[in-house]
Amino acid sequence: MTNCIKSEFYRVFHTKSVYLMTGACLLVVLLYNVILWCMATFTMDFPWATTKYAFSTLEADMHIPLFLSAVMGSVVVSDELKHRTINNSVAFGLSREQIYLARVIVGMAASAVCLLVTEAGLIGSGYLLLENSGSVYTLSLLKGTVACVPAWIAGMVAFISLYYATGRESIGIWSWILVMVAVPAVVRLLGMKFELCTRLSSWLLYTMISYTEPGEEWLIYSWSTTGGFLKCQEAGIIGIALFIVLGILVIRRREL
Amino acid sequence: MINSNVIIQTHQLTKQYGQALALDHVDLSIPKGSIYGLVGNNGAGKTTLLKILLGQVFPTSGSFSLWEAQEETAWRRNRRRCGAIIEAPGFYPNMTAVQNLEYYRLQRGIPGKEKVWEKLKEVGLADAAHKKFRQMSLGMKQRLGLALALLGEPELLLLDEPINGLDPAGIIEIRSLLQKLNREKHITILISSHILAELENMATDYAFLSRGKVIQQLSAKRLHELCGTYLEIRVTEPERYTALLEKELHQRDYKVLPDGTIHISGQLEDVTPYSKLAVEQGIGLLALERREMQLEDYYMHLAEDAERR
Repeated sequence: MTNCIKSEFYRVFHTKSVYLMTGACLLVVLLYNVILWCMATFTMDFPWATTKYAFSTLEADMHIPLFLSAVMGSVVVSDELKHRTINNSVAFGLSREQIYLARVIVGMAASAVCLLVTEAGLIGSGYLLLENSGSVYTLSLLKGTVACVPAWIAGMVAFISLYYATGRESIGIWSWILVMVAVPAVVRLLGMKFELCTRLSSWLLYTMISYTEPGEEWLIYSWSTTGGFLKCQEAGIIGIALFIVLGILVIRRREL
Repeated sequence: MINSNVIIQTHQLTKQYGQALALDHVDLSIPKGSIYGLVGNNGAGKTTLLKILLGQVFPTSGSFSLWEAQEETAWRRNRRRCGAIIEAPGFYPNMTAVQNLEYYRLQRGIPGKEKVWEKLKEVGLADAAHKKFRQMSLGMKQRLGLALALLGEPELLLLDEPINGLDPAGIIEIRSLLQKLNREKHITILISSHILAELENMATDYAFLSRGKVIQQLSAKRLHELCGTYLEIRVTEPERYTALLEKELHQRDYKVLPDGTIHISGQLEDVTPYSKLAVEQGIGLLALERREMQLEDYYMHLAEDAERR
């Protein structure tokens, strides 16, 4: 297993994809803060060039990293069924479970690098360029990040499992959208009519991290309360476990 | 009971895809130290057989042993003693040859980075080491596949059409390499190819497959005996002639083709008795010719026979 993880690290960090993805995320957040700074510098009475606004924007859009987690899943599997690289590993006697878990572990590490770099870029450039609204907003962003990390990992694991289940990246993407986005959206709509769906919806990852309610001063997120924070973590961990079980069942039966 | 001189043994191995039988109750024994040629047309079941042995597809029924192993965990352990190329070699297209091999070296826990370069040199790919896989020619990809197969110093090589895409010089080079590995390192090689002449120059044993069935297993020595000279006779009354062949000349090693042509195998230095037999019995002799049977012809005859049955 260690060798398998080592080789995955070698592969993922010796190809451009992770660097391109991390670079693109970093560029977007830096550009965002630079634009806010420019607006404040070159226009009169621009009220949004603050760390409160910059950090809260990401916090209100925690579903965006969920989509990126599917992209990270795609980077990790690198369409290996099409390129038949997995065949070499199986032919050498590696167990399919080992191969699958090594990809999940390395995907988590690569996602962590991408997330750390992006958030560091957002917070660092925010403090450097924008008006400091106080540490409360930084802490809120960090709390939201910690709350959503399991959901993002579940998103990546879901993509890897659905890829092995469907055998093609394009079908994997559509299946992922169906399972992770469309179904929660439909359940949420049904929740307006049926109580059971409301309760179910509150446990679905996409609903949990993408819908907010207006508060007195700013938005209220599902992780704003201690109970909500723990629920986010629990739902994420349950999601990871379910998709890992699905992935292992699928890869065990897959003919190459 | 597993024979220690047999590396692979299959017993009634069957693989079904929907209604199609890719392998049909295959019984094979691959002797240790042999270069075992798998001969068959497209769809004969060669690749399916190799894929089952390597755990890439699962048999519908039947069993096999890989060395002494007869269940999944033990198969997996013993697959580490194998090297393989199945279908076109699969590598990461955006990684170079050296990066691709390094990835698998790490995955297999093979010590020493220099091993990668050693194998690239062995297959004549050192100059293209930093070329990305997607930029390589088919021949280069094939060589890289062979380098990977050899990376772990295997005791058994399973090669599916390994000379596909190689130029004539490349074919000779790879063939010599495989023969050298078999001779010097005693590596057993199970090789399939549709270029039968290539196997003819290399294999020590053969299995002929057609429509998922093994139609014949034999040694190269026996095959050369069978593929040697034969007599092709066309007469006006083939049935009467063959009856006389058995009665008068005690010749039973013959075959009658659907068009009535008779093929007689064996030691045939003197053909006079065969012409004399027809003439004396008043059977019209239309043609009598000594011919040389090539491996291709032999396989075609076998496959036609199997088809008729």
